[in-house]
Amino acid sequence: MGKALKIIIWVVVVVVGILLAIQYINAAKYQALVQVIKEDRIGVNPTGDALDFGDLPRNKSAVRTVTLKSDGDTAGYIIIWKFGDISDLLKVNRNYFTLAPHTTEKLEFSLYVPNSAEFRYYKGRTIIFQIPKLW
Amino acid sequence: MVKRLTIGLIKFAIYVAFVASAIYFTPKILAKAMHTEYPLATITSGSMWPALKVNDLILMKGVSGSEVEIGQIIVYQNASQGFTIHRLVRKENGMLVTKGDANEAEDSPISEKDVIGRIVSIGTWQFHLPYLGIIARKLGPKIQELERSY
Repeated sequence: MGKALKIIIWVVVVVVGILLAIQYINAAKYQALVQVIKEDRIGVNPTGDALDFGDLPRNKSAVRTVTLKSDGDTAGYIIIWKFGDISDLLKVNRNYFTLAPHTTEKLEFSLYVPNSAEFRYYKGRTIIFQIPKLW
Repeated sequence: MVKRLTIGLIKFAIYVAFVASAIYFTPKILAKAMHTEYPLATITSGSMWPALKVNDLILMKGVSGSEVEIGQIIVYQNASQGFTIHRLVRKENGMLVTKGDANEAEDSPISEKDVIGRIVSIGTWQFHLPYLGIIARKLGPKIQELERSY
């Protein structure tokens, strides 16, 4: 492999790496958690910077919303990733879509606790990527 | 240069033929070994969570309704002519009662003749390969779980 080709590959790798790092830094990140409890009651925690579903018994669900607002002149492509053991229980109403400039979109994160859930905390993270749509 | 290119193309063709054969013949060999038309299936709902998750690829063995045991995850044809993959919870009056682990309620009883097979298990571990079901869904016959999903 020629030296020039190696340099080009390295440059491409570094540029792509930097772009990915910027997207990760710019992404909105939320801790997500729920405590599955035995009692038939729902405990609501005031939501701050977390998608906190509070205390939920089995076979109950709860919804939390996140509103996305596009202030810039460039459309953004929205990608939502879920991590952790809560991700199996968590659903979002929209994913992989374009947010037009100067518009808002309300995302609904719904969490359902199935009958087979254990009585414990389920935790994870949700990352909302907003990639400038230049294409 | 031409010779190297030719050798490269031949190697590539052999590789493609090998992969295509594996994709084509694996389900057929499995079908014979597992005594069922549907040796591989994809989980499409969360009703068996956490034992089985959406997009898990499962391996199924064809057995009759009289051979299945309580606690096993079985596959049967449901009233909508689809397939359900749920756990056998009890047998009563010659009928089988199943339930999705994540579901609150039991399913309607089924007769033994509706049973198509059971999931292959190793000890207490049910054979399932996470996410590989997405590929199987594109390539092979699909088994849909028509019970309640969430």
